Amino acid sequence: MITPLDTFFLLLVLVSAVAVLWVRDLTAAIVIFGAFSLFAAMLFASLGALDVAFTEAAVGAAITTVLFVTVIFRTERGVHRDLKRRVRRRPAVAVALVFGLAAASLLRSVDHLPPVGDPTSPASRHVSPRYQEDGREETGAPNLVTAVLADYRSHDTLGETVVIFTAGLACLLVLAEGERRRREEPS
Amino acid sequence: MNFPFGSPLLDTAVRLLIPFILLFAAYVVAHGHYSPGGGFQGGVILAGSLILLRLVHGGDARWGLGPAASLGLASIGLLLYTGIGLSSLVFGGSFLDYGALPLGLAPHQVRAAGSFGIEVGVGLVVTGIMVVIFDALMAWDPDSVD
Repeated sequence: MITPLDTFFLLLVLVSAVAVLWVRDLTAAIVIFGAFSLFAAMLFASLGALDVAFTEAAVGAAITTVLFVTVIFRTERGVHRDLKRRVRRRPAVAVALVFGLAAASLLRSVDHLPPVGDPTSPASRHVSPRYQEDGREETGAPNLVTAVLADYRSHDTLGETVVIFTAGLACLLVLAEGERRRREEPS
Repeated sequence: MNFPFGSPLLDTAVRLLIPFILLFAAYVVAHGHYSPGGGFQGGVILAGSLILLRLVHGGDARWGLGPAASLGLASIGLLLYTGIGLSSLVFGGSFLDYGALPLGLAPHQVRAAGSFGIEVGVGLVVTGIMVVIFDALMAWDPDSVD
């Protein structure tokens, strides 16, 4: 069920998302982006997805903001000169039309979705009953999200962990590459 | 990596906050079975405390966790995860089938112990990698770009 509180948080999410694109100062954009993540986390929490809300608050609102601010700190604040040039009108209108049509067709189909928490919806009929009914005895985890993430679907979680590890290695390699080039070609 | 960012105010605030953040991170990892949380969130909180310390005290406050050590920490986490998976393979189950581990407990307790092991592994990977990314960004020299 969608409560007025959910709608309120959804509006905040939308407003902050537009504001991120609107402001010109990058540091301000990052702070608003953090607020966007926080509102998204509140929306998830009010929809009952506490684990997702926790992750969104910790990763989106905290760590990502810190890493973005670090990047600004190491580069420069503000918009690059090339980006400040006036955006060409006609392509922008075409892109807005295409995405507006796509969004409109998606919104039209919202009515046909099953209500949130409907036990007869396809999502609640396949493997969910097994997880909900036997999860606690089979995995020993009262928190069913953990039961799914760390037990039933531990292969997926292994994949995600490897992705994080690889992302870290990639950051290290890309950033160290510039460092190596600088050392080899002293200017 | 040293930059003048600290002040007595920030120093005091960090000294007060760090122990609670560390405790909360450990709680989130350990209590993920019973409440929202788990290795990923706990790892991010732990990394957050380490990064906070670096932000305020500069590169000196590493607690022995330099770039190489944090990458090592992440590798240990990944090895723990795959190690648990492979050892359940050794004891006759399939990959990541913790029920096969010979721990001498009730079946669901064995599974819970296995899941806790991989949660710790995920936590170590996330902590290590977040710190690695932050350190790489701080060590990076902007003048090296063409």
